[in-house]
Amino acid sequence: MKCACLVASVGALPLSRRLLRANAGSLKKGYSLTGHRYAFIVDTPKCIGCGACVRACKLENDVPDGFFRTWVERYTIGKDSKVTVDSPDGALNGFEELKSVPAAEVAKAFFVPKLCNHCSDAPCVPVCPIGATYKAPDGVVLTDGKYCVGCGYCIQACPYGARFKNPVMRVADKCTWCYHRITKGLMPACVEVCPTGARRFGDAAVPGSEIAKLLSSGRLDVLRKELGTQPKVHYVKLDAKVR
Amino acid sequence: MSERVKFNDVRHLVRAAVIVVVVVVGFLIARSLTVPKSFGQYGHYRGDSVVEKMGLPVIVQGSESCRECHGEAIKRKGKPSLWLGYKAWKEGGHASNTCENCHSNCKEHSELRRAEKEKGIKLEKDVITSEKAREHCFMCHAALAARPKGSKLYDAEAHAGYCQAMELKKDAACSECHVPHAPDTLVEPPE
Repeated sequence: MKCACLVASVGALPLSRRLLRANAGSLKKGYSLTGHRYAFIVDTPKCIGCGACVRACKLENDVPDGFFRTWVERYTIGKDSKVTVDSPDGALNGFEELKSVPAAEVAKAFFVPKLCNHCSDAPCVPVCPIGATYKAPDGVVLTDGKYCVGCGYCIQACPYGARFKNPVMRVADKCTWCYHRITKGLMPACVEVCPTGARRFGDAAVPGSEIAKLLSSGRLDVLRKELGTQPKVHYVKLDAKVR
Repeated sequence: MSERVKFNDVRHLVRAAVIVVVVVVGFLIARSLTVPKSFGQYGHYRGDSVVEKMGLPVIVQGSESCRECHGEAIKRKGKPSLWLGYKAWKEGGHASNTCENCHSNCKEHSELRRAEKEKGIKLEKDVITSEKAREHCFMCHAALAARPKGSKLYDAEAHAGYCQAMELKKDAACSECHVPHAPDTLVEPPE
Protein backbone atom coordinates (compact mmCIF):
# COMPACT_ATOMS: atom_id res chain seq x y z
CA MET A 1 0.00 0.00 0.00
CA LYS A 2 2.80 2.41 0.95
CA CYS A 3 4.71 1.52 -2.22
CA ALA A 4 1.63 2.22 -4.30
CA CYS A 5 1.27 5.69 -2.72
CA LEU A 6 4.93 6.43 -3.31
CA VAL A 7 4.74 5.39 -6.94
CA ALA A 8 1.56 7.43 -7.44
CA SER A 9 3.02 10.62 -6.00
CA VAL A 10 6.23 10.30 -8.01
CA GLY A 11 4.35 9.55 -11.19
CA ALA A 12 1.90 12.42 -10.70
CA LEU A 13 4.45 15.17 -11.24
CA PRO A 14 5.29 14.59 -14.90
CA LEU A 15 1.63 13.82 -15.52
CA SER A 16 0.57 17.20 -14.16
CA ARG A 17 3.17 18.87 -16.37
CA ARG A 18 1.66 17.26 -19.43
CA LEU A 19 -1.78 18.43 -18.37
CA LEU A 20 -0.55 22.02 -18.00
CA ARG A 21 1.37 22.21 -21.24
CA ALA A 22 -0.69 23.99 -23.85
CA ASN A 23 -0.14 25.63 -27.20
CA ALA A 24 0.60 29.04 -25.83
CA GLY A 25 0.85 32.09 -28.05
CA SER A 26 1.60 32.04 -31.73
CA LEU A 27 4.99 32.57 -33.31
CA LYS A 28 5.44 35.16 -36.02
CA LYS A 29 4.68 33.45 -39.27
CA GLY A 30 7.85 32.54 -41.04
CA TYR A 31 10.18 32.57 -38.05
CA SER A 32 11.42 29.18 -37.01
CA LEU A 33 12.72 28.84 -33.47
CA THR A 34 15.13 26.09 -34.41
CA GLY A 35 17.90 25.90 -36.95
CA HIS A 36 19.70 29.13 -36.03
CA ARG A 37 23.31 29.63 -35.03
CA TYR A 38 23.46 33.30 -34.12
CA ALA A 39 26.87 34.84 -33.50
CA PHE A 40 28.17 38.30 -32.72
CA ILE A 41 31.62 39.53 -33.68
CA VAL A 42 33.30 42.54 -32.09
CA ASP A 43 36.17 43.91 -34.16
CA THR A 44 38.07 45.71 -31.39
CA PRO A 45 40.62 47.52 -33.59
CA LYS A 46 37.75 49.19 -35.45
CA CYS A 47 36.01 50.58 -32.38
CA ILE A 48 36.53 54.31 -31.97
CA GLY A 49 34.58 54.64 -28.74
CA CYS A 50 31.99 57.03 -30.17
CA GLY A 51 29.20 55.55 -28.05
CA ALA A 52 26.62 55.43 -30.85
CA CYS A 53 25.90 51.81 -29.93
CA VAL A 54 25.17 52.68 -26.30
CA ARG A 55 22.82 55.49 -27.32
CA ALA A 56 21.02 53.33 -29.87
CA CYS A 57 20.57 50.53 -27.34
CA LYS A 58 19.16 52.91 -24.74
CA LEU A 59 16.70 54.25 -27.26
CA GLU A 60 15.69 50.90 -28.68
CA ASN A 61 15.28 49.07 -25.39
CA ASP A 62 14.28 51.87 -23.01
CA VAL A 63 17.21 51.16 -20.74
CA PRO A 64 17.03 53.19 -17.50
CA ASP A 65 19.63 55.88 -16.75
CA GLY A 66 22.82 54.62 -15.20
CA PHE A 67 22.30 51.07 -16.40
CA PHE A 68 23.55 49.49 -19.57
CA ARG A 69 22.74 46.54 -21.75
CA THR A 70 25.86 47.27 -23.75
CA TRP A 71 28.81 49.53 -22.99
CA VAL A 72 32.32 50.34 -24.18
CA GLU A 73 35.43 50.15 -22.01
CA ARG A 74 38.69 51.93 -22.71
CA TYR A 75 41.94 50.23 -21.77
CA THR A 76 44.94 52.49 -21.45
CA ILE A 77 48.24 50.76 -20.83
CA GLY A 78 50.93 53.13 -19.73
CA LYS A 79 54.62 52.84 -20.41
CA ASP A 80 54.92 51.63 -16.81
CA SER A 81 52.65 48.67 -17.74
CA LYS A 82 49.90 50.01 -15.53
CA VAL A 83 46.42 49.30 -16.90
CA THR A 84 43.70 51.91 -16.53
CA VAL A 85 40.15 50.93 -17.45
CA ASP A 86 37.43 53.55 -17.79
CA SER A 87 33.90 53.63 -19.10
CA PRO A 88 32.37 57.08 -18.45
CA ASP A 89 28.64 56.54 -18.13
CA GLY A 90 29.10 53.39 -20.20
CA ALA A 91 30.46 55.55 -23.06
CA LEU A 92 26.97 56.96 -23.55
CA ASN A 93 28.51 60.25 -24.65
CA GLY A 94 31.73 58.85 -25.99
CA PHE A 95 35.05 59.44 -24.29
CA GLU A 96 37.20 62.40 -23.45
CA GLU A 97 40.95 62.48 -23.11
CA LEU A 98 42.09 60.46 -20.13
CA LYS A 99 43.48 62.98 -17.66
CA SER A 100 45.23 60.45 -15.43
CA VAL A 101 47.45 59.12 -18.23
CA PRO A 102 48.77 61.84 -20.56
CA ALA A 103 49.14 60.86 -24.22
CA ALA A 104 52.92 60.83 -23.97
CA GLU A 105 52.77 58.16 -21.26
CA VAL A 106 50.54 55.81 -23.21
CA ALA A 107 52.12 52.63 -24.54
CA LYS A 108 48.91 51.36 -26.08
CA ALA A 109 45.21 52.06 -25.71
CA PHE A 110 42.07 50.63 -27.24
CA PHE A 111 38.33 50.29 -26.83
CA VAL A 112 36.46 47.11 -25.99
CA PRO A 113 32.71 47.06 -26.56
CA LYS A 114 30.90 44.62 -24.30
CA LEU A 115 27.45 43.14 -24.10
CA CYS A 116 25.75 39.93 -23.06
CA ASN A 117 27.62 37.01 -24.54
CA HIS A 118 24.56 34.77 -24.84
CA CYS A 119 26.71 31.88 -23.71
CA SER A 120 25.90 28.42 -25.03
CA ASP A 121 26.56 27.14 -21.52
CA ALA A 122 25.27 30.17 -19.68
CA PRO A 123 25.89 30.17 -15.90
CA CYS A 124 22.95 32.54 -15.37
CA VAL A 125 20.34 30.07 -16.64
CA PRO A 126 20.62 27.11 -14.23
CA VAL A 127 20.84 29.34 -11.14
CA CYS A 128 17.40 30.83 -11.63
CA PRO A 129 15.19 29.27 -8.95
CA ILE A 130 11.98 29.60 -10.93
CA GLY A 131 12.84 29.43 -14.63
CA ALA A 132 12.59 33.16 -15.40
CA THR A 133 15.74 33.20 -17.47
CA TYR A 134 16.32 30.75 -20.24
CA LYS A 135 18.07 29.90 -23.44
CA ALA A 136 15.47 30.06 -26.19
CA PRO A 137 15.49 27.27 -28.79
CA ASP A 138 17.35 29.56 -31.19
CA GLY A 139 20.21 30.03 -28.71
CA VAL A 140 19.42 33.53 -27.47
CA VAL A 141 19.46 33.90 -23.68
CA LEU A 142 16.46 35.89 -22.51
CA THR A 143 14.96 37.06 -19.24
CA ASP A 144 11.24 36.77 -18.60
CA GLY A 145 10.53 40.12 -16.94
CA LYS A 146 6.98 39.12 -16.12
CA TYR A 147 7.97 35.95 -14.28
CA CYS A 148 11.17 37.16 -12.58
CA VAL A 149 10.88 37.87 -8.85
CA GLY A 150 14.09 39.87 -8.66
CA CYS A 151 16.15 37.58 -6.42
CA GLY A 152 19.29 38.68 -8.27
CA TYR A 153 20.95 35.28 -8.36
CA CYS A 154 21.46 35.43 -12.12
CA ILE A 155 23.01 38.89 -11.80
CA GLN A 156 25.57 37.45 -9.39
CA ALA A 157 26.14 34.39 -11.55
CA CYS A 158 27.06 36.27 -14.74
CA PRO A 159 30.87 36.49 -14.89
CA TYR A 160 30.75 39.30 -17.49
CA GLY A 161 28.70 41.81 -15.55
CA ALA A 162 26.15 41.87 -18.33
CA ARG A 163 23.11 41.71 -16.08
CA PHE A 164 21.59 44.34 -13.86
CA LYS A 165 18.49 44.88 -11.77
CA ASN A 166 16.15 47.13 -13.68
CA PRO A 167 15.17 49.84 -11.14
CA VAL A 168 11.87 50.55 -12.88
CA MET A 169 10.60 47.00 -13.39
CA ARG A 170 12.55 45.63 -10.40
CA VAL A 171 13.52 42.50 -12.26
CA ALA A 172 16.72 41.18 -13.82
CA ASP A 173 17.49 42.69 -17.19
CA LYS A 174 20.18 42.40 -19.86
CA CYS A 175 20.97 42.61 -23.53
CA THR A 176 18.63 40.49 -25.64
CA TRP A 177 20.53 40.91 -28.91
CA CYS A 178 17.42 42.94 -29.79
CA TYR A 179 15.42 39.75 -30.09
CA HIS A 180 12.45 41.70 -31.46
CA ARG A 181 14.68 42.86 -34.33
CA ILE A 182 16.70 39.75 -35.17
CA THR A 183 13.57 37.61 -35.40
CA LYS A 184 12.41 39.98 -38.14
CA GLY A 185 15.69 39.75 -40.03
CA LEU A 186 17.01 43.10 -38.78
CA MET A 187 20.29 43.73 -37.04
CA PRO A 188 20.44 44.55 -33.33
CA ALA A 189 20.30 48.34 -32.80
CA CYS A 190 23.95 48.59 -31.75
CA VAL A 191 25.09 46.78 -34.91
CA GLU A 192 22.83 48.94 -37.08
CA VAL A 193 24.35 52.23 -35.92
CA CYS A 194 28.02 51.37 -35.54
CA PRO A 195 29.80 53.65 -38.03
CA THR A 196 32.98 51.60 -38.31
CA GLY A 197 31.63 48.07 -38.50
CA ALA A 198 33.15 47.12 -35.16
CA ARG A 199 29.99 45.21 -34.30
CA ARG A 200 28.65 42.49 -36.54
CA PHE A 201 25.86 40.04 -36.12
CA GLY A 202 24.41 37.23 -38.14
CA ASP A 203 23.12 33.69 -38.38
CA ALA A 204 25.95 31.29 -39.12
CA ALA A 205 23.40 28.63 -40.08
CA VAL A 206 22.51 30.62 -43.20
CA PRO A 207 24.79 29.25 -45.92
CA GLY A 208 27.18 31.84 -47.31
CA SER A 209 26.37 34.39 -44.62
CA GLU A 210 28.98 37.01 -43.87
CA ILE A 211 29.11 36.00 -40.23
CA ALA A 212 29.81 32.36 -41.13
CA LYS A 213 32.76 33.48 -43.24
CA LEU A 214 34.10 35.72 -40.48
CA LEU A 215 33.76 32.95 -37.91
CA SER A 216 35.63 30.43 -40.00
CA SER A 217 38.42 32.71 -41.20
CA GLY A 218 38.94 35.23 -38.40
CA ARG A 219 41.41 35.14 -35.53
CA LEU A 220 38.85 35.16 -32.77
CA ASP A 221 38.84 34.92 -29.03
CA VAL A 222 36.22 35.14 -26.30
CA LEU A 223 36.10 36.78 -22.90
CA ARG A 224 37.03 34.60 -19.89
CA LYS A 225 37.44 31.49 -21.96
CA GLU A 226 38.69 29.54 -18.92
CA LEU A 227 35.20 29.61 -17.40
CA GLY A 228 33.84 27.37 -20.11
CA THR A 229 30.69 29.41 -20.70
CA GLN A 230 31.09 29.15 -24.49
CA PRO A 231 30.17 32.73 -25.33
CA LYS A 232 28.64 33.48 -28.71
CA VAL A 233 30.28 36.92 -28.85
CA HIS A 234 33.69 36.64 -30.48
CA TYR A 235 36.39 39.29 -30.33
CA VAL A 236 38.87 40.04 -33.06
CA LYS A 237 42.33 40.85 -31.69
CA LEU A 238 41.29 40.67 -28.07
CA ASP A 239 44.17 41.91 -25.94
CA ALA A 240 45.35 39.72 -23.06
CA LYS A 241 44.91 42.63 -20.66
CA VAL A 242 41.14 42.72 -21.17
CA ARG A 243 39.28 41.35 -18.20
CA MET B 1 10.36 -16.44 12.35
CA SER B 2 9.02 -18.33 9.36
CA GLU B 3 5.33 -17.58 9.97
CA ARG B 4 3.87 -14.55 8.25
CA VAL B 5 2.41 -12.14 10.76
CA LYS B 6 -1.15 -11.12 9.86
CA PHE B 7 -2.20 -7.49 10.04
CA ASN B 8 -5.74 -7.24 11.34
CA ASP B 9 -5.67 -3.61 12.28
CA VAL B 10 -4.68 -1.50 9.26
CA ARG B 11 -6.49 1.71 10.23
CA HIS B 12 -3.22 3.55 10.87
CA LEU B 13 -2.02 2.65 7.36
CA VAL B 14 -5.26 3.85 5.83
CA ARG B 15 -4.93 7.18 7.64
CA ALA B 16 -1.39 7.61 6.33
CA ALA B 17 -2.48 6.76 2.79
CA VAL B 18 -5.36 9.25 2.91
CA ILE B 19 -3.01 12.01 4.04
CA VAL B 20 -0.59 11.24 1.22
CA VAL B 21 -3.37 11.26 -1.37
CA VAL B 22 -4.80 14.53 -0.04
CA VAL B 23 -1.40 16.18 -0.10
CA VAL B 24 -0.61 14.95 -3.61
CA VAL B 25 -3.99 15.96 -5.03
CA GLY B 26 -3.82 19.30 -3.25
CA PHE B 27 -0.37 19.90 -4.71
CA LEU B 28 -1.58 19.08 -8.22
CA ILE B 29 -4.52 21.46 -7.89
CA ALA B 30 -2.32 24.26 -6.53
CA ARG B 31 0.18 23.67 -9.34
CA SER B 32 -2.44 23.80 -12.05
CA LEU B 33 -3.69 27.09 -10.66
CA THR B 34 -0.36 28.84 -10.18
CA VAL B 35 1.96 27.68 -12.95
CA PRO B 36 1.39 29.67 -16.17
CA LYS B 37 -0.18 27.72 -19.01
CA SER B 38 2.72 28.09 -21.41
CA PHE B 39 5.34 27.00 -18.90
CA GLY B 40 7.27 24.05 -20.22
CA GLN B 41 6.32 24.65 -23.84
CA TYR B 42 9.93 24.87 -25.00
CA GLY B 43 11.75 24.22 -21.75
CA HIS B 44 11.69 25.18 -18.10
CA TYR B 45 10.27 28.66 -18.75
CA ARG B 46 7.15 30.43 -19.95
CA GLY B 47 6.72 29.84 -23.66
CA ASP B 48 4.70 33.07 -23.95
CA SER B 49 7.79 35.03 -22.97
CA VAL B 50 9.48 34.17 -26.27
CA VAL B 51 6.54 35.54 -28.23
CA GLU B 52 6.37 38.65 -26.04
CA LYS B 53 10.05 39.38 -26.60
CA MET B 54 9.57 39.11 -30.36
CA GLY B 55 6.70 41.54 -30.33
CA LEU B 56 8.47 44.56 -28.80
CA PRO B 57 8.45 47.71 -30.97
CA VAL B 58 11.32 48.44 -33.36
CA ILE B 59 12.54 52.00 -32.83
CA VAL B 60 15.87 52.49 -34.61
CA GLN B 61 14.94 52.08 -38.25
CA GLY B 62 18.12 52.73 -40.20
CA SER B 63 18.75 55.15 -43.05
CA GLU B 64 16.59 53.46 -45.68
CA SER B 65 13.45 54.42 -43.77
CA CYS B 66 14.45 58.12 -43.91
CA ARG B 67 15.06 57.91 -47.62
CA GLU B 68 11.34 57.48 -48.32
CA CYS B 69 10.66 61.13 -47.46
CA HIS B 70 14.10 62.69 -47.42
CA GLY B 71 15.95 61.13 -50.33
CA GLU B 72 16.10 64.18 -52.59
CA ALA B 73 18.50 67.10 -52.22
CA ILE B 74 17.08 70.27 -50.68
CA LYS B 75 17.28 73.51 -52.63
CA ARG B 76 17.70 76.55 -50.47
CA LYS B 77 17.64 80.21 -51.38
CA GLY B 78 20.63 82.12 -50.09
CA LYS B 79 22.02 79.68 -47.52
CA PRO B 80 24.07 76.75 -48.79
CA SER B 81 22.16 73.49 -48.68
CA LEU B 82 23.53 70.94 -46.25
CA TRP B 83 21.51 68.02 -47.57
CA LEU B 84 22.93 67.17 -50.94
CA GLY B 85 20.68 64.16 -51.42
CA TYR B 86 20.85 60.47 -50.73
CA LYS B 87 23.36 59.72 -53.48
CA ALA B 88 25.87 62.30 -52.24
CA TRP B 89 25.53 60.97 -48.69
CA LYS B 90 25.92 57.34 -49.75
CA GLU B 91 29.08 58.11 -51.70
CA GLY B 92 30.53 60.42 -49.07
CA GLY B 93 32.64 59.76 -46.00
CA HIS B 94 29.66 59.57 -43.64
CA ALA B 95 27.85 56.79 -45.49
CA SER B 96 28.49 54.36 -42.65
CA ASN B 97 26.85 56.78 -40.22
CA THR B 98 23.11 56.20 -40.11
CA CYS B 99 20.78 59.22 -40.18
CA GLU B 100 19.71 58.39 -36.65
CA ASN B 101 23.23 58.90 -35.32
CA CYS B 102 22.77 62.65 -35.64
CA HIS B 103 19.07 63.17 -36.23
CA SER B 104 16.12 61.90 -34.26
CA ASN B 105 14.99 58.35 -34.82
CA CYS B 106 12.25 57.38 -37.26
CA LYS B 107 9.62 56.43 -34.68
CA GLU B 108 9.89 59.68 -32.69
CA HIS B 109 10.11 61.77 -35.82
CA SER B 110 7.07 60.24 -37.50
CA GLU B 111 5.07 60.66 -34.29
CA LEU B 112 6.08 64.31 -34.02
CA ARG B 113 5.24 64.88 -37.67
CA ARG B 114 1.83 63.25 -37.24
CA ALA B 115 1.16 65.45 -34.18
CA GLU B 116 2.17 68.48 -36.18
CA LYS B 117 -0.19 67.64 -39.02
CA GLU B 118 -3.14 66.60 -36.90
CA LYS B 119 -2.93 68.93 -33.96
CA GLY B 120 -0.76 71.74 -35.25
CA ILE B 121 1.96 71.07 -32.67
CA LYS B 122 5.15 72.73 -33.86
CA LEU B 123 7.76 70.23 -34.94
CA GLU B 124 10.93 70.66 -32.93
CA LYS B 125 13.98 70.96 -35.05
CA ASP B 126 15.47 67.51 -34.69
CA VAL B 127 18.86 68.16 -36.08
CA ILE B 128 21.92 68.83 -33.99
CA THR B 129 21.84 72.54 -33.16
CA SER B 130 24.85 74.75 -33.81
CA GLU B 131 25.70 74.97 -30.12
CA LYS B 132 25.91 71.21 -29.81
CA ALA B 133 27.45 70.54 -33.22
CA ARG B 134 31.09 70.69 -32.21
CA GLU B 135 30.56 68.49 -29.19
CA HIS B 136 28.65 65.99 -31.32
CA CYS B 137 31.20 65.77 -34.11
CA PHE B 138 34.08 65.40 -31.69
CA MET B 139 32.44 62.30 -30.18
CA CYS B 140 33.84 60.45 -33.19
CA HIS B 141 36.52 62.83 -34.43
CA ALA B 142 38.47 63.85 -31.33
CA ALA B 143 42.05 62.63 -31.42
CA LEU B 144 42.02 60.30 -28.42
CA ALA B 145 45.00 58.11 -27.62
CA ALA B 146 42.86 54.98 -27.92
CA ARG B 147 41.59 55.72 -31.40
CA PRO B 148 43.25 54.06 -34.39
CA LYS B 149 45.53 56.60 -36.06
CA GLY B 150 44.84 58.15 -39.42
CA SER B 151 41.07 58.06 -39.27
CA LYS B 152 40.07 61.71 -39.60
CA LEU B 153 40.96 62.64 -36.04
CA TYR B 154 41.36 66.23 -34.98
CA ASP B 155 42.75 67.87 -31.95
CA ALA B 156 40.07 70.22 -30.57
CA GLU B 157 42.52 72.94 -29.61
CA ALA B 158 44.38 72.91 -32.91
CA HIS B 159 41.16 72.99 -34.88
CA ALA B 160 39.81 75.86 -32.80
CA GLY B 161 42.84 77.84 -33.91
CA TYR B 162 42.06 76.98 -37.51
CA CYS B 163 38.45 78.15 -37.12
CA GLN B 164 39.69 81.44 -35.72
CA ALA B 165 42.02 81.85 -38.67
CA MET B 166 38.94 81.48 -40.91
CA GLU B 167 37.37 84.32 -38.91
CA LEU B 168 34.90 82.07 -37.16
CA LYS B 169 34.31 81.72 -33.44
CA LYS B 170 36.61 79.33 -31.58
CA ASP B 171 33.73 76.96 -30.90
CA ALA B 172 31.97 77.41 -34.21
CA ALA B 173 29.75 74.62 -35.47
CA CYS B 174 31.60 72.25 -37.79
CA SER B 175 28.88 72.73 -40.41
CA GLU B 176 30.10 76.31 -40.94
CA CYS B 177 32.82 74.82 -43.13
CA HIS B 178 32.02 71.13 -43.56
CA VAL B 179 28.92 69.66 -45.13
CA PRO B 180 27.94 67.02 -42.56
CA HIS B 181 26.26 64.77 -45.11
CA ALA B 182 29.22 64.69 -47.47
CA PRO B 183 32.08 65.73 -45.18
CA ASP B 184 34.71 65.93 -47.89
CA THR B 185 32.77 68.81 -49.41
CA LEU B 186 33.44 72.20 -47.92
CA VAL B 187 30.84 74.91 -47.55
CA GLU B 188 31.78 78.49 -48.26
CA PRO B 189 32.04 80.12 -44.81
CA PRO B 190 29.53 82.97 -44.34
CA GLU B 191 30.77 86.48 -45.30
